[in-house]
Amino acid sequence: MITWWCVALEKPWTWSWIPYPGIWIATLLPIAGYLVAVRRHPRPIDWRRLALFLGGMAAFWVASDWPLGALGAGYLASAHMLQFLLYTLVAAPLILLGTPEWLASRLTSRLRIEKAVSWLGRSPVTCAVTYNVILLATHAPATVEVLRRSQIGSFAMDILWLVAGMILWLPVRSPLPEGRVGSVWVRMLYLFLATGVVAIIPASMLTFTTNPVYAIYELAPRVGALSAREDQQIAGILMKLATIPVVWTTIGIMWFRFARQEEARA
Amino acid sequence: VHLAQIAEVLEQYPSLERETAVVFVSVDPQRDTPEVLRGFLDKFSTRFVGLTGSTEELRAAQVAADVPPATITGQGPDYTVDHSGWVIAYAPDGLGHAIYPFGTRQSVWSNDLQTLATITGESG
Repeated sequence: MITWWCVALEKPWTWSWIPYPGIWIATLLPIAGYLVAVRRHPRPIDWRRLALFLGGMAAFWVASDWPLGALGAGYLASAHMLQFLLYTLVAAPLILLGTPEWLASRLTSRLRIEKAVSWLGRSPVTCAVTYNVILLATHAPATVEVLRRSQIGSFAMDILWLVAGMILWLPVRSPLPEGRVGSVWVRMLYLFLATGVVAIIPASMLTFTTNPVYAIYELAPRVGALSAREDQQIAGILMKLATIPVVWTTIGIMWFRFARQEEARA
Repeated sequence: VHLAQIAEVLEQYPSLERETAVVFVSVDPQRDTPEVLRGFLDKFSTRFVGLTGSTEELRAAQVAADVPPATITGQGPDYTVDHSGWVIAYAPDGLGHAIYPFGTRQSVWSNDLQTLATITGESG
């Protein structure tokens, strides 16, 4: 029987490759749609944007497919965390950066969500709250236990993480210019607060709790020499520290661009 | 999985570790030679004890402990052994007070092992 999406396997881990066609379809369909759209568009292809989009989709594929997807679905809390970070901090912002304005406008208007997306991008508080609610909900032991045991649940969790990542980055880098926060200061403050405050709660819980919190990873056959608790501690540390280079690099870039603009204006 | 959980709990409570003996009983004497057993248990703790014996002795031990006896399926080098994944906890009074099936969480071991260590013949 074909397994379409990575799910908890409940058998000893082996490095034997497993195909997950659902993940390939979910990766290739948006790429094909993007390529068809940019080829049909009268403007020449923006190769930089295309590379960013493909980079985002590659991150989505790496996070979802074997081996990381399979390890995160049923074996290691640290792999589960790495998946979350790849979706929210790499795939989502790269996809947004790689989507040209005309394509985002066309897509959102066809889906009749253009106004909602623009409004969301101008509402950093709503985006921060939504992102953090998804973060807390999808790292709750009960949610992980239920969703990772079925292909549909596992698929829902992965897509929800990608959507959460897009919501997080909308105020900073929405492809729709009218759907972004105008002030650079607010953007920088938003990014810092949205990623660095609430995440401390689950990250600390995972790092400092005496016993493993996720039954699915605790009772899974061990991968390598890592105990369930050590694996969970790595997950907690990743959650807290991995955001720092991405967020602070972005804040740094925003700051230098802003300073350069001010200098030019002066 | 259970050996890893128990090793982790005992590592957290050194006094409990000194008072606890973890004994792993093989049900596959053909494959589980003393060397193999020792190598396996050392992955969790060098203090864990491994026991093996003849097929008859191991069957008698399983019956005595009320554990469903293991069954061997297939022949040749690829035979499989179906066995229970139970852990039986004996308290200092010498009685088996609890049976833990597969799926028992580490938090349960953490709580129960400390309680079991306090049960002596005098405490009733």
